[in-house]
Amino acid sequence: MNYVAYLVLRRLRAPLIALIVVWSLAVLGYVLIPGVDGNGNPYRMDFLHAFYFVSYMGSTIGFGEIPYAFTPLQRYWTLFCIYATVVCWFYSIGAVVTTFRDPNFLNLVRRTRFHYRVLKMREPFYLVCGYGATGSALVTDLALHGVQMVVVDIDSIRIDALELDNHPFDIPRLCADAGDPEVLQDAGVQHAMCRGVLCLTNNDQVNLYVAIASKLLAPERVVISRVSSRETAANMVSFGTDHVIDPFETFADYLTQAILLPFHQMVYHWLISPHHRPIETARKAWHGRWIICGYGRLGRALQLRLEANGLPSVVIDPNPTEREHEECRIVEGRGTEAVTLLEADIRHAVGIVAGTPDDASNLSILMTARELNPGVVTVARQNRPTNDPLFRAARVDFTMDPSLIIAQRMSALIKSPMLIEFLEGLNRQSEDWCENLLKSFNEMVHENRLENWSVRLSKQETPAVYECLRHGDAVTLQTLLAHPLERDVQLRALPLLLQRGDEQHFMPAQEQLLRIDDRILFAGQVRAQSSMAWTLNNENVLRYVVTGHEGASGLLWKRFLRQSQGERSGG
Amino acid sequence: MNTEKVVFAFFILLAATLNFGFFIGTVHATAHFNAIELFAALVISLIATVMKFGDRTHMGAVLLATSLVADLQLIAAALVWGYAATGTDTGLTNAVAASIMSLSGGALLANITSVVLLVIETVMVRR
Repeated sequence: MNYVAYLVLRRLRAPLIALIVVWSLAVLGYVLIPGVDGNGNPYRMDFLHAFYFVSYMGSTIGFGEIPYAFTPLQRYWTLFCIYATVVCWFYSIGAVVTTFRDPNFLNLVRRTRFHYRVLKMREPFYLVCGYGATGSALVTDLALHGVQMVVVDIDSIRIDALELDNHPFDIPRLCADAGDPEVLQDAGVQHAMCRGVLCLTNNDQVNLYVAIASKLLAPERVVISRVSSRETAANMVSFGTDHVIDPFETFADYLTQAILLPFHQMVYHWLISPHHRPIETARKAWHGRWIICGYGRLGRALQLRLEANGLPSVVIDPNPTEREHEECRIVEGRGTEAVTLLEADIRHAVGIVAGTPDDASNLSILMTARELNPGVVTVARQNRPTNDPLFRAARVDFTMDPSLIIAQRMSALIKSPMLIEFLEGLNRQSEDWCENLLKSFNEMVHENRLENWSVRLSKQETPAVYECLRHGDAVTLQTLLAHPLERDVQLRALPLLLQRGDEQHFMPAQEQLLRIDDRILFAGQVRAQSSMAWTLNNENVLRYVVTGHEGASGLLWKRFLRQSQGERSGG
Repeated sequence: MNTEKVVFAFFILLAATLNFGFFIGTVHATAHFNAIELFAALVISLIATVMKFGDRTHMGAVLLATSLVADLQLIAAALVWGYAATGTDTGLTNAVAASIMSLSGGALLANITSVVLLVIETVMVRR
């Protein structure tokens, strides 16, 4: 990276040497040429005056002839010097300005500034490579939760977009190729405060480079990457990438779950997405035939899953000949025309998935399908976040944005790894159980945001509870869930998971006694989290919540109270 | 033959010889040509410095440092001279002349170092 600095210096050589040569020759001329002072005596200009005169002549300021009027010979020399110095001055100044306006040079300045900003970071941060649709959704969500990040993207337009997106704090950003290990080093992959690397570029090869480089340069960093092919995914897992997320597989899983286990899917959606669907929209599973438009990687993943669950499906694809060997019914066409849809028997289908990579086609497919069969369930893949109003106006039953799904999953991985464990355990529960859980969620937050957070009972995170437990006092989940100002009121929060060593307690009971180093996952209102923080961190609040009356906080008052209590018990 | 090396060696040697010539003479306020000698030494030294800009080798960096030292000393000498000759009533006293000589002596040492480094570099290149 330093080579640009050398290049700049090298480019300055010629203008600087030209300046020195012309200036010194001019000065030398004035010193050597004899002059005449005011009284007609012979006189020679000294270096001070010569340099002074040449300086203002060359820079075209021109104060006149000093210290005495020039002789014809001096004027003769001046005539040459004017042209030489002025031309040389403009050339040198122009060359210097050009060099400093050079894009390479400006990049170097930006890069150096970025490097020092990252070096000075004092709180844990994540390195985000790629600020596209997924990247921006993830950065926005994490920034809202106070997670510091460093963003690298190869496209300057997206870096400018990051500057304009209103994040609660300033995020260091660099326009550079994340696949370059030097860029990763400058972005702080080896920084002591770097917690993990997120590879979110739209190029699998670049993601692979970033993941490999991060694992080699800093093996202990968590690396989370998106991939779009199975081979790359297997490759990444082979060298220890911590989490690999395939948008199409994740999306297909998500959609299959929505079709087969709507309540499971809804619990997942409520916990992982900031905006959730109202509980009334949940329906019982739709069993019947499905039509899948677009048989790309997404269509194939979806079709395989439907087949595995015993749901018949028809695929509509413009190039059916390429898929002849596949064992499913394929109709040739785009799906945007009524003829194709009728051939796929839309009138008797339970639902239709518009999964092409083009939003206009997807909307057209669904609108045509609904005209032919008003009761059909419509599922759309939304490719661009800006098309949100269109999909809302089309009243599509399920809109799924693959980039958003990845962003939400990654943000859950970073914010609360316990949530992912809970969601995995969720698969073992029944639909009715999920429905009940949803109802209690609904009672807590209604249409507001359902927040989730995890707590570890340790000296650093929860000093008050830690002290209490260390002294052997009993603390239950109920204690933590009591309102810090009014202990009879319960906070609008629900414990979802209690982790003690290798043991996991799903939906622990309120009377559950807690121990040091327990980890608990809560879900509830956003406000409940900050209220709970009082109980967890403030000794006095915790004492009030446990005993029902406020104790003394000062040393003197504590001593006084203890004495008076001793007298009372003694007498 | 490397033209850049020839030109650079020329300027380094010229800076050293001019500096030497100025250093062994005696400074007289009336001797106009003494000042021209100092001026020439300073200009050549400046050019030699600029010619080392952007050299990525270790030797290049050290040569840049030595010529910067020479520049600094010569500029200091010129400033002292200019101030003494024009800014004070006493003009160029013996004390001022002595300090100009010692400053140019320091610059000479730096220039000699440059020449020694240049010779070493030349000897190391066996072509």
